[in-house]
Amino acid sequence: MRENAPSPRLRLLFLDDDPELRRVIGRSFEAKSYEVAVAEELEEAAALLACRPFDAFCTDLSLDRLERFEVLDLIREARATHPELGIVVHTGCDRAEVHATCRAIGANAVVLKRGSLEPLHEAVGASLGARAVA
Amino acid sequence: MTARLIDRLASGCDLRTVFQPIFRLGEGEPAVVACEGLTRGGEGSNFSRPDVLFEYARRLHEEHRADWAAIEGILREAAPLPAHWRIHFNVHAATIAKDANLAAKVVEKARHHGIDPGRLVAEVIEHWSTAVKLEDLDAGLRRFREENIAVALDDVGAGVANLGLILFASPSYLKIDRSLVEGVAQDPRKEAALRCLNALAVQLGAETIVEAPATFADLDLVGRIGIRYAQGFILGKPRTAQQLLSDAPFAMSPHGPHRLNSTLPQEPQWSIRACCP
Repeated sequence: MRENAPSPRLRLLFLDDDPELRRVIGRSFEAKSYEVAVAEELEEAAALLACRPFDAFCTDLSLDRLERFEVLDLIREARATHPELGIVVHTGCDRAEVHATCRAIGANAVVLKRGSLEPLHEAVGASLGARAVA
Repeated sequence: MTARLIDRLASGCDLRTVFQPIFRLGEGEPAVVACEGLTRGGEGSNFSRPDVLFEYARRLHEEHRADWAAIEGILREAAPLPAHWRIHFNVHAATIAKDANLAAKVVEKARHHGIDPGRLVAEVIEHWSTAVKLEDLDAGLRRFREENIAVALDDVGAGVANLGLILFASPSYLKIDRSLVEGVAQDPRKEAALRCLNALAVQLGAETIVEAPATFADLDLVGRIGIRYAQGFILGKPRTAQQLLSDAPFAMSPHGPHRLNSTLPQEPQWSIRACCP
């Protein structure tokens, strides 16, 4: 009998400078069967995106030592070089114009860092489109 | 505020060094004559893959710090390797152009670890970078040669590497990129490219090293073209210096390189003779 090939796990890159968030959110996605890589620096995430395949990229908007536009530049670059990549911004900023900018440059969704992780899980899943269907 | 990753990498504490053997072809069976020091980040870290590690450093324009940490690690770890093996290390063209003291620092560090600098080969990577001033690179390469460190051009045939750079750099070795070597036995166009590059190397007084032959048929063809050196997984995977020494105890002999089947473990990747009658 021929065995079914195992479904490939969806690969998520999660960028945040908060180690506790990297740990908690990384594990929450692993619990949902994602293969998760976490990055603490923008350039680290950029190098990973350049060298490894990912299905989704979730990023904070405000990182240590960086201006917000540098993260926006990475989102632009990621969208330009990886058209199929799901991109979700996870931010504590609730300004509508910032969210609109993120979407305009290629983010699929913006999720506020508040309360449950369910909205983040849903947004990442939705950003993957048909790939998210198990 | 925690230390940046680049600072931790530059300190060397998060880096590991492995060595991949380079074989001389022809004259009987392949024999190890050199090894390339390769740097990896910590096990399980994002930088365990060297492409990610050096891409990270390049994005910060800090490749010189990553290069130096890698070179220090290679020279430290290479100390116990057989004295008849050359030791190759990678260095960005930008680092050579930027650091006028690099060659002297490499010599000092090599001597500190008991390594004759004449055994060293600097493999220049990213030599096509437009950010590098050619006159600075020229000066840096000259200093390497003055210190008796051989120069190799790495990844020849990849990216936007061009023939002018080969002439400009006057390398002792051309390392041919895997994209021109993998599957060469099945691809007459790749064979033509290899023949041309090897002929150019011969005319320039340089040696050719092929990277990553995929099959023993590739290796056989490479030898018939007249290329004398090869490096790749089918010949030998990267290993720590201690693993290399324990795998190839006879290589410690001062009587020159040894026949493969008498010096290396009987693993498939070493068994040239069995696969190349």
